[in-house]
Amino acid sequence: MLAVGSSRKPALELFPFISLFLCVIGVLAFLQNLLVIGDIGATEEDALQPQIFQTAYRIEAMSDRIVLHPPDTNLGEIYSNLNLEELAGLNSVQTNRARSTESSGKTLLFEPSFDELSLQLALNEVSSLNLLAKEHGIEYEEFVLLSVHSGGSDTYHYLSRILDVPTFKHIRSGLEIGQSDTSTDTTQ
Amino acid sequence: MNLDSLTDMVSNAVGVLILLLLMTALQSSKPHSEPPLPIEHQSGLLPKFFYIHSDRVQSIDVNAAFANGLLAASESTSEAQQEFQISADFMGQRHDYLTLTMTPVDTDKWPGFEDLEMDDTLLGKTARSLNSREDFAFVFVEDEGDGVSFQEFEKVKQWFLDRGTAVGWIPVTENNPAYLCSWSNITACRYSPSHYGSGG
Repeated sequence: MLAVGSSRKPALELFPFISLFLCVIGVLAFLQNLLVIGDIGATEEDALQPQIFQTAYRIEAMSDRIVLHPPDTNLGEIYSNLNLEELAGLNSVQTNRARSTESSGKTLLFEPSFDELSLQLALNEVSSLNLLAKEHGIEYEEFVLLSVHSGGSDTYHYLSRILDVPTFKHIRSGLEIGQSDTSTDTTQ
Repeated sequence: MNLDSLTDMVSNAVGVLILLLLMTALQSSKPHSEPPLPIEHQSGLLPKFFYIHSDRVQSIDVNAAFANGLLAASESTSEAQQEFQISADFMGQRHDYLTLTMTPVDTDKWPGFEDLEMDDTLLGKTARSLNSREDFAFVFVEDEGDGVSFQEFEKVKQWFLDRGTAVGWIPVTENNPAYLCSWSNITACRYSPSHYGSGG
């Protein structure tokens, strides 16, 4: 029972509150520092690295042939909400590509005669798919990855010139050294 | 004075910090799943040129090439294409005031990959002077059909990437020689980086 008329007030103890508060602030500041450092790294990397949703359509350039390796992406999963006409075109591309991927690529020999039409069709597919993705706001883009084998540099320059025509100029391209185990001896 | 609360708070904070440090360390030690795609794209970086012939590497002084090209042009009386000496290592052929092609000479005397580390060679000086925030290495790789130049390029490329310097390249042959352009929009003169290092 409190003594009536006592002049002593209970002491205000802020110690646990302040220490807890400072502790939380410290941890939050530390976390923020970590995030800022992470963001700087990511920003620098983003400025240098190409976008990650790009998919490679690999074309091997050899001295006597070109081998087309379309990506084995399931286009039906990526492209949705297409109209019937677009869907028919997509199915045609998917079927055509499935044939190539099953046989480890479509080989186009230079001799006795070069099937340039198949090459043009392949590049048209890439171009059309990219255009379709753009129209529907789909984050998907195919680029042509030229895989140059030793002795295939003139073939590379031939392909570069084809990619430089206005129809295909918007297709991004990349260049790598071809690995011997990825080359194929299949014929068209 | 009761220190129990303070000890409790401090140990809690230290525990959280240790946990965060462990998580950060674990995340950074994860290996990168795939190398970045070698897509060529526009860049504000300036190209510094190198040439690989078989297992030899040499840097190219573009200013000297164009200065000598203009000198050759001023001394020439004909409009025909003409050959001139770019340096001890290259012959040049002028196509117009802005475009020239190069062919390597005396490649036996050229430095090799190991000389990238040497400060007493032009190659070493040039390679080590590249600023990864301003420059990138653009390499002409001569394709002689035996794959030696390509193997050498892989080493040179990795050397630059390890230092955070971006790399672009193009294979060259007798029919498709190395082009140097002061300004031109032709395909052969579009120098773009396609490989990026993870930082020096």
